[in-house]
Amino acid sequence: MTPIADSNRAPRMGNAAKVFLTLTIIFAAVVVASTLAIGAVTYRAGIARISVHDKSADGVRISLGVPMILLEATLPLMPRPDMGPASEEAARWWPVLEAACVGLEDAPEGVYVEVDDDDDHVRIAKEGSSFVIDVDSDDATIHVSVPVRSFQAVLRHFEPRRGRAIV
Amino acid sequence: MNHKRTVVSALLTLALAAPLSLAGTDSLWIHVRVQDHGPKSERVNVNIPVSMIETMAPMLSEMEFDTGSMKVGKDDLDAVKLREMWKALRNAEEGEYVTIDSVDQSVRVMKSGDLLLVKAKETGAKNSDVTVKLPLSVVDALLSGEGDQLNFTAAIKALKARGAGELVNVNDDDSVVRIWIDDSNSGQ
Repeated sequence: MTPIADSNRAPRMGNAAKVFLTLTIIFAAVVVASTLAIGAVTYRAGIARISVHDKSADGVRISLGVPMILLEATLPLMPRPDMGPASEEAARWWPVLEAACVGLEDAPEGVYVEVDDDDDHVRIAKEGSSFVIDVDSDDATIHVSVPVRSFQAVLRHFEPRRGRAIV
Repeated sequence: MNHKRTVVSALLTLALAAPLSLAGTDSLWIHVRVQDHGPKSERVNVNIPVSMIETMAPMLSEMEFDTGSMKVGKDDLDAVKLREMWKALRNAEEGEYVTIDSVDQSVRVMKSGDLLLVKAKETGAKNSDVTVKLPLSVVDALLSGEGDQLNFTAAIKALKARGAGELVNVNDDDSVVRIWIDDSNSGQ
């Protein structure tokens, strides 16, 4: 009885190929996990949206979405404005501002400020977890939407220090 | 048996109503309306959740204000003197306590129910009508701090506990200002 040749069996993988395949799977897993992690962090931090519509004849429309994680990462590189003599007074009020930000995070949705005159309409509201500013004037329409969560980080960075000018 | 049923129904009603009433005070908003009658006829609406002001209040109480006293006539009136005056007024009976009348101006300060009412009227070159309604419990709470400190945290809590109501109404030739509290986020 002649042994039956197993023609259906796949050819055996060499050791080098096995190592290559394992590395490829690990690499793919790392790429997928990092993408998911970055996506989750970006989603959690939120996205600031800015759109400007110039109403003049050759007016332009600009629409921009900036992930807040990017803004928070670049915050340490941003220079602090010099408030001069006002920094002492600003420093006194900073904790109140920070507390307002904390309160704003938990505050209910609604229109917080609305200013109307013959030419302009300004509306500041909390919509979902974002702080939204809309300006509609004869010249332009501006829409800014910023996640409330990011306010604290921004305020912390720009906090003026007492007793010395900020540069 | 009927008596028992009535007691059970009353308790059930109370149990159901309590969370609802608490939810009501949690969603209170303070509204400010300014209507300018000037050439641009500006209109400003500000609506702030009381809960947000509540988070800011402890910081305000901790702040040291440079103007720790206010000027009344020739005398400086600090928080300690103000507290003594308030104590006397608080224990007094209802009625009008301050009346100032001149040719074109009148001011009345009175205690009415649970409110301290301030009414000022100006006539002549400029007409204005001001009404301030301060709940006594709020002033009590505001002056419950020690020394020169004003207790904003307690004041906001008292304001919240009191619920909806009118606080300030100013009506003059140039503008109308209204400040009040209710449970709607738009103040409509």
